[in-house]
Formats: sequence, C-alpha cells, structure tokens
Amino acid sequence: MSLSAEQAVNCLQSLTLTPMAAVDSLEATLSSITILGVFEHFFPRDLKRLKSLETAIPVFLQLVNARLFPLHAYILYEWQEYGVLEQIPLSPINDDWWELEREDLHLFTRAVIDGAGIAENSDLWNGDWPSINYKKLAQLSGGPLKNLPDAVRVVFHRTGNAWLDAVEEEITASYDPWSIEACENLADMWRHAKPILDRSGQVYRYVYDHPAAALKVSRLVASCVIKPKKNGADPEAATLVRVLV
Amino acid sequence: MSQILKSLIDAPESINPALVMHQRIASQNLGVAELLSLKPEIERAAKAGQEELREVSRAIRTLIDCDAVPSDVVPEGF
Repeated sequence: MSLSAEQAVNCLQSLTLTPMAAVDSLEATLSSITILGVFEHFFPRDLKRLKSLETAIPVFLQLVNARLFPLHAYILYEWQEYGVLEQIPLSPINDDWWELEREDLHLFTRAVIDGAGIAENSDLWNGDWPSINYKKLAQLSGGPLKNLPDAVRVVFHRTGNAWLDAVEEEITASYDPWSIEACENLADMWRHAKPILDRSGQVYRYVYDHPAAALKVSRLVASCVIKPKKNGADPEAATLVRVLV
Repeated sequence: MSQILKSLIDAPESINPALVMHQRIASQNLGVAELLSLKPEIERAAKAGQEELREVSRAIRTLIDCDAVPSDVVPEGF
C-alpha cells in the first residue's frame, strides 16, 4: 500500500492523538456528515460538483444563504468561529433597536418609538413596550403609509413570524442541530417573512425619502397606543416568538 | 510475580476504538459518498471510544484511591 506524503503526515498526526482528542475529532466528523446529508438532500447536484471535501461546509452555507434562508455574512466567512457544525447558525434579520443609541436608529424606527412614548433608556426602551391597536392603525393608515401596521409590527418584533420577531439574545439559546426538517421549517418561515419585509420596507423607504412623514407616523402610532389597564395583563405580551423551530 | 502484575501482563492489547477509526479516516482520502456510508461505523467507534475512556478514568480513580501497601519484593537497586 502506498501513501502520499499528505496521507502519511495525517496518519502520523493521528498516532499522536489522545483517545479523548480522537473521540472529539470523530464527533466533529459526525457533525460534518450530518451536514453533508442535509447538503445532499437540498443541493444534490452541487454536492456532486464539489471538488474537495474541505470546501463542503463553506459551499453549503453559501447555498443555504442563497436558496433557503439568510445567514449573516460573518457566519459565511468565519464559520469555523461560530460552532456551525453543531447547530444551525440562525441569523435574525430584524434590528434589536433597543441595543443601539437612539441617534443611530432609522428615522422610521425613531418615529414609531417616539409615537409609542418610548424614551431612551427608560423601562419602556428596554422592552416593556406599550401595546398597539393594529386594527385601528390599519384604518387610519393610507396612501404611501398603507403598510404602516406591518412596519410597526416589525419595529416591535410582533409580526408573528419568527425570522422577524426573534431577538438575538434569545435565539442564541435555542439553536437547533442541522436536520432536513429544521432547514425546511426555517426556509418556509423565511418565505412567509419576505412579503412582510417588502411591505414594511416600502414604509421605511418612504419615511427616509420624505422625513416630514416621520411626524405623521409618530402621531398615528400615538393615537393607537393601548393604555394599559390597572393590574391588567398586556394583551400582546405573550405573542413574542422566542423559539424559531 | 504478583497476581496483579501477571493479570496486567496477560491482559489483551487494545487500542481505543475511536483512535483506530480516526487513524482509518486520516489515512484515506475519503469522498463524500464514502464518508456518508461510514456514518454508522463512526458513530459506533465514537460511542465505544467514549465508553472506554470512562472505564479507564474509573480505573485510574480506583487506583488513586487505593491505600498504599508495602511490597513483598525489594526492587533491584534498593
């Protein structure tokens, strides 16, 4: 039996491993195999075209991002840093605006939170948001702001779609292992998230292009804030989706 | 020769199954199809390797916890 120099080096390196390191290495290999199984299911032709096994994971992640659901750029290019082999690196696409400075927020976001009476660094800023009467908001919104209810739901992470409602801090604790079913669920949810994003994006762009509309947005939102009842439960508090899959 | 020493000498030689599988994978240039077909074997090897590691750890712990007993034989040089 003849070995290439590379094979011989790999073989010699494996001889110096401790049993514990060998177990860890096999578990990493099993994770890769699981991903290859998912790769084969969704992109069989691309897998056949693969020239080297070393490129399988980055190619797979690019394909997932292009054809199934979005992944953050840092995941695509620095995947080895983020435990990608063990779990699906979920990448929520909605801003956690309360983690930012008010002055760094999009003009539309500022208009909405001003309308809701949320002052920077107050209890409200940190998530104790007032509820909005979205039905009333839909009745009051028209013309270029006809999709305002969708856009406001996006700001408050209350669209009912996990891609838009997930909060970075919460989902890091709920990553799922790679599986065909988990990927199908995420891709399906992403398909439903896109039209919501398109509609809300129109409003964001309109307000950005017409800054005077920000005041109107604030007034509309303010008129639809539901005043909390004394000792009453927030009717929307339970709607935040915490787990993606 | 003490019975314990004899048992140790007579014990069959073995290598942790995870190491054996790791060497097998490292020494071959496996393609995707081959790697996928090896999955059950790798799973078995990883599990068996893990179990053996636990056994060895238990044995080491037991040996460490043993009370010291003076030997019947004076080692050469003493």
